[in-house]
Amino acid sequence: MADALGELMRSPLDELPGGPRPRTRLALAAGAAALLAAVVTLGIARAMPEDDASDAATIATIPAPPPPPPHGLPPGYIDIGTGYGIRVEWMMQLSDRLLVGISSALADEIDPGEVRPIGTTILGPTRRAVGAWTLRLGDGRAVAHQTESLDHAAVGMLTVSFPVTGLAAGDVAALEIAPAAGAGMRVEETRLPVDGLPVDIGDLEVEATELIESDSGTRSGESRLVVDGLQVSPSSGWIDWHLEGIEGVGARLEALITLVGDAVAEPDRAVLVMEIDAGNRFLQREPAPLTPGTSGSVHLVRARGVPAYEVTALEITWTVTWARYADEVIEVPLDGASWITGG
Amino acid sequence: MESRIRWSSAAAVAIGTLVGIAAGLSAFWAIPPTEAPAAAATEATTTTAPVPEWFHPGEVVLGPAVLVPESLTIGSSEVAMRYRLEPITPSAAPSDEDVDTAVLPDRWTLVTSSGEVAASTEPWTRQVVFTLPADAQQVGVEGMRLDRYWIRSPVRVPVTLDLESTPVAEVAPGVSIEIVRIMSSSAGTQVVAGLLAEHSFTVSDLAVEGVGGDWLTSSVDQTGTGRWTVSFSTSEAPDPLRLVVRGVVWVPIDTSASIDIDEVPRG
Repeated sequence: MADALGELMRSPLDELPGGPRPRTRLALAAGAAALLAAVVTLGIARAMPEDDASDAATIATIPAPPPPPPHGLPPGYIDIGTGYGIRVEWMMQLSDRLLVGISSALADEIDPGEVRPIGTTILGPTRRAVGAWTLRLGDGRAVAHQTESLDHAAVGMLTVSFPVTGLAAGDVAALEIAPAAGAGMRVEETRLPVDGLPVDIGDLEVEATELIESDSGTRSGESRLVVDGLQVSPSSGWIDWHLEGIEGVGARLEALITLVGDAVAEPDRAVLVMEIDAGNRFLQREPAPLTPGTSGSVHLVRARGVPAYEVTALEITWTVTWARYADEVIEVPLDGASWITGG
Repeated sequence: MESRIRWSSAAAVAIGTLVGIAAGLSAFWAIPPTEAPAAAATEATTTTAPVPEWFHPGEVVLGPAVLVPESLTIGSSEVAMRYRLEPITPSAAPSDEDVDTAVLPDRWTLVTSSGEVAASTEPWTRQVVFTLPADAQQVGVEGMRLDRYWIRSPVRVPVTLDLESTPVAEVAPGVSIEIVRIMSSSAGTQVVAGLLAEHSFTVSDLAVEGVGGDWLTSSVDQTGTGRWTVSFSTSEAPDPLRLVVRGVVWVPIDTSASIDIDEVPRG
């Protein structure tokens, strides 16, 4: 090996009396380092089966790295296949819902840069569901979760609520999660001519096809959101929708309706927004994420403008956030969780 | 904790660079300063790619962070342990502030040869100090445990208050909301709602909002009373009154996490 390297490093300066000078040796060594680094990097990064013999020989001179240690999670955490584990920290029964506080921890060897952050409400790909949760009670009931709460001021934490009442410590038999495996968003716009308000449309052909972004790419798929009914008055609106297609997909719908009247020179406009997003007017925080579901209703209220004019059209913006859940259901241990009683 | 490092996805580049550097150094020494060829064969140096370790045995997992004991000082009148908190959770933009505020250790117990000594730590401190009994001559420290800590949790809880009955409701662990005052006029209605908690810091990151098209604004009393003024456009308060409490609440977690004091460096 040394002979080969020595040959590789040969330089006309070698012929000088006294051999290469230290700085030259350093330069040659650095050059060798860069060359080998490039060769090894390419060999590892590509891992091409058709590597030629010289590449194979180069790689063969590098001892194989020791096998990585097994993934490790702190005690009590269960891997949900996302690079991190989760653990139930606390549960509390309120008058109309059960809150479950959950923490998360990275598994050893996991690069946090490759894991979707938990605890952020930043708009975009990170604002998506952690999973579909099911609470199994001792009396045999199964309760699907109501909301997942995240907040950028509580990084790594998640609070899941379930619409169940009257539970005490020991009533919860198990907690299950089907982890979210992908998410995406699609925006559709519709303009509906109307003969004035109110309108009550029961068969509206507005569909938004599933669009999911996952590690394997973005694709539109087999699920679509179908609007079943649309009711609009001058001050409020109501939209019923459901999903059609395969199981394991959820969606949340945000809608905005602009009431348009063209009886005057400049069209008058009034806007109906989702009731839940009225929080936009209080700018301390972004609206909390809503849980994707397979059906839902959107209640709209008037945000601005008074439609004193004759409304002739509805401009509707449908923003559909899709979530696809894994087929595998994982049971989350409840051992060690604190049951917090009210004061 | 030194090995709790973070590495990028360009692992191949790192490995290649490390191997290259190692080989380069080998070449540096393999090429003699004189004309004599190298006498000894040199094999490529084995390199191990660094892997992050988020939790080490002996550390105490407190939700999204671990408590790492740093030093233990045993004196004649008190025992003190310094510690730090490290994140172990996926984070979009980890910062020291996130780490420091993820969890708050609170109540501790020191187990000595003459009994147990309790202590509490103030929020935001990173040291627990146990005051030993005055008559303790030679107390042997046998163990230490953490009995309670606080953990941040996000909440978003809608609440409906019947103004005719007692307008109080629980909204989160240790937190209730009550209607303090209602002021109505033809210009609108202002509802003053208070967040009640034993410790004021537990509700400092919670907000109270209204629900519905008649809700206008919310503002908080800056003097630390935990009171919010929620304004509606109607001349009378909506009844029932629908509000949303959302933000982050501190939740007390009772535990019995032992500290392996034998592994804690002496201060």
